[in-house]
Amino acid sequence: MTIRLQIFDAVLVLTMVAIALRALLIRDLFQSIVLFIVFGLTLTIAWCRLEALDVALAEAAIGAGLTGALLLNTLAATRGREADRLTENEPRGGREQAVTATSAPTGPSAISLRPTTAIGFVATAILVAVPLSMVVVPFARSNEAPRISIEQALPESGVTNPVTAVLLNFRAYDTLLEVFVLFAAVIAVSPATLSAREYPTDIGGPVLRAFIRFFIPLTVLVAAYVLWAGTKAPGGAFQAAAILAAGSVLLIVSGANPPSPEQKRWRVLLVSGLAMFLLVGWSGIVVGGQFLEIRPPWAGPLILLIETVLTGSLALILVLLFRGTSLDELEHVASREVTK
Amino acid sequence: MSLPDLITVLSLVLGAFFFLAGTVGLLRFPDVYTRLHALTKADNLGLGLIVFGLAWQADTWFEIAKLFIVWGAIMLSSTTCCHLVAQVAITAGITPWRRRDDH
Repeated sequence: MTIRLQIFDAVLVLTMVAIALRALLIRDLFQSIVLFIVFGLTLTIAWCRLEALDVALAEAAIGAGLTGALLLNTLAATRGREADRLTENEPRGGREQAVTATSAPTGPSAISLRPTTAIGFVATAILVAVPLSMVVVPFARSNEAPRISIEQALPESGVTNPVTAVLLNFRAYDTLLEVFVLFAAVIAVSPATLSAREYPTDIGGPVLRAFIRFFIPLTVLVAAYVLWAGTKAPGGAFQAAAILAAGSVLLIVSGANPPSPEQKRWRVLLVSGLAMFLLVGWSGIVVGGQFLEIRPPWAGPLILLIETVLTGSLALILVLLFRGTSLDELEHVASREVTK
Repeated sequence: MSLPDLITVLSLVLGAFFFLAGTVGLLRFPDVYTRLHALTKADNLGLGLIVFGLAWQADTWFEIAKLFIVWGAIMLSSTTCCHLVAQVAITAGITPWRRRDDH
């Protein structure tokens, strides 16, 4: 390593530590979030320096971009609540009061499981846990960790990008469980009281409208490119989904109708990624191999198939995480439970 | 040093100067509107010069095209952001700064 690169790295590391410290110690939450976003950008540069471009892409899109938007959104929502609490005795906004009034008594019934839901949970758990344990337990029993050389095994993976090969072939079960974690998070968040804010529709005017008209198609194009490139270069489902989600968040904050988990089509999209992943996993067993065993000549197309469907699901998951569920919807759900 | 390398170095230095000027402007200018002016200059011209300088080091036309698309995308988004911030500032009733001896 040349001395110039060493100096660059030293400056980068010191900058990161300084920004991290400032983000943690500063009192104003808004400034803290902005510093966190800046920290994400410097972290992206660090991943680039480590030649981990896949991670750098994900960090730039999710760590710096989406998480920043998520935090700012949360801050705005909680600040509103804080103000509400300070003026506790004054009559609050009619809508909010209506929600607390209707949802409080029906709270337990709203979270109680319907039989079909419970059966769905158990079935999914069996569909995932049984084959996974069939794959993982033998490894856990044997004292030797399975060692494969990525370079040697790469031709069998169906893709030429080693990161994608590990994520969707050699250690696909890790990725499957990761998607489950995100899915569980969205299920946990969706009934939360974090209000989806009403964004003003008149903000920005013609400039923002023109920007969106040009930029949203570009976002879709770039996401498709990143998804496609993932088979042979840095990229893939997670990065593509983050880009799509960022575009959707831009649409939502400028007044577009956000996706609602109440609607069936969005629910289908929400589970489609996991469903496709499981389907491919089980097809491995059906053709006589193991769960999630993907072999050529079908490995390449199958990986691309999983990644494509996964992109839509993950993007929706990220958008729903950003948005939370609106108070209107909670009210709607609560009143429906009452009439039942 | 070959001619392409020389062009690269010159444009990168000039681009870095614009970023420095933009940052100084952000810190020293009196109000939100003038600071926006300083920032967008850095984004547009500074990044443009850096992209121009890097283009001389690219191996393929595709790379050059990608570099300029990045520049275009950032110009668009920084322009839109600038407009949004300025609009919010106007709506919030922040009057543009004027030199005291002007009026």
